[in-house]
Amino acid sequence: MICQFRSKAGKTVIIHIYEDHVEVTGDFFTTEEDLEKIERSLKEGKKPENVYILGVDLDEFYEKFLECVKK
Amino acid sequence: MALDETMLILHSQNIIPDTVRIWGFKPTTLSIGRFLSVKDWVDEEELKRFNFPLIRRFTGGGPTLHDENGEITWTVVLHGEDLLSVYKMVSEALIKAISHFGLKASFSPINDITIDGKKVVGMAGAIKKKSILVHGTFMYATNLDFMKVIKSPKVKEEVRGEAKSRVATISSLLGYRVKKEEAIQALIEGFSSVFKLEEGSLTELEIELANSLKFKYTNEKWTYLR
Repeated sequence: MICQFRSKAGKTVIIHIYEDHVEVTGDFFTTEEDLEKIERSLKEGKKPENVYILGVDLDEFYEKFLECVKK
Repeated sequence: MALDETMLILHSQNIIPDTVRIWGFKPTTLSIGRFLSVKDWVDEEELKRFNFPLIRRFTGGGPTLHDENGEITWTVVLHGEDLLSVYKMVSEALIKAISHFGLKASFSPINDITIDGKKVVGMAGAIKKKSILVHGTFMYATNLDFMKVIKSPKVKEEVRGEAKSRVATISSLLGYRVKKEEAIQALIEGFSSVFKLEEGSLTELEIELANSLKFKYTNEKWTYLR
């Protein structure tokens, strides 16, 4: 399943949900390590925490992820 | 790109000082942000038609067209932890450079500099330890037809339109073609107004490390990572 959204800060995020993992791509700013943490948290259905991502608020991110899962 | 990554690595180890570098791509190249997927952001048919190389940056952000005849690339590496505040600081230099041409630009967070809503400078950055590297484009005369190689995901295009309609160049705004030398001079003046600059050259270590990182930026496994 693929979902796209524009963050309030104007960044484009694409969430790919696969059976065994979640992949997040987009024009935001973070580190490889933090993106991995975000993908791991989402895979476990949890809100990502203690990560640096510029351009997407984590609450907003999680909300959009849940909307995507519901679809 | 390998040299920019080298600068961030060496700066994060306190081996090189804060640095401003003005450079350019040859041939014209499309770069994409580290976290973008090629299939969502690149029109590979157009890219093939124009015969432009594609490289994945180590910095985040969107796709960027580097026209060898109309764009100057610049890089700043310094100590810091907050990327947004560095974008803001660097934008002061670029706004000053643009004012050289009698144009009034403004910083459009997160990472753009715009004139009347059109992007003339795009910035991208990465953090390593306590070092931040920000690099970007200075579009003095970019051929905007080349923007066809950039594909925008539906949610972006619905809000912002296609890539070509979102950008402008210094030349297109002035109505005449700005010379590369004048654009470089304006950039030097702009960066000098914000940073205390002194001329320098690459160290042997920078050259050696950059050479050993070159493989990454010519390797499809990295380019097509996502």
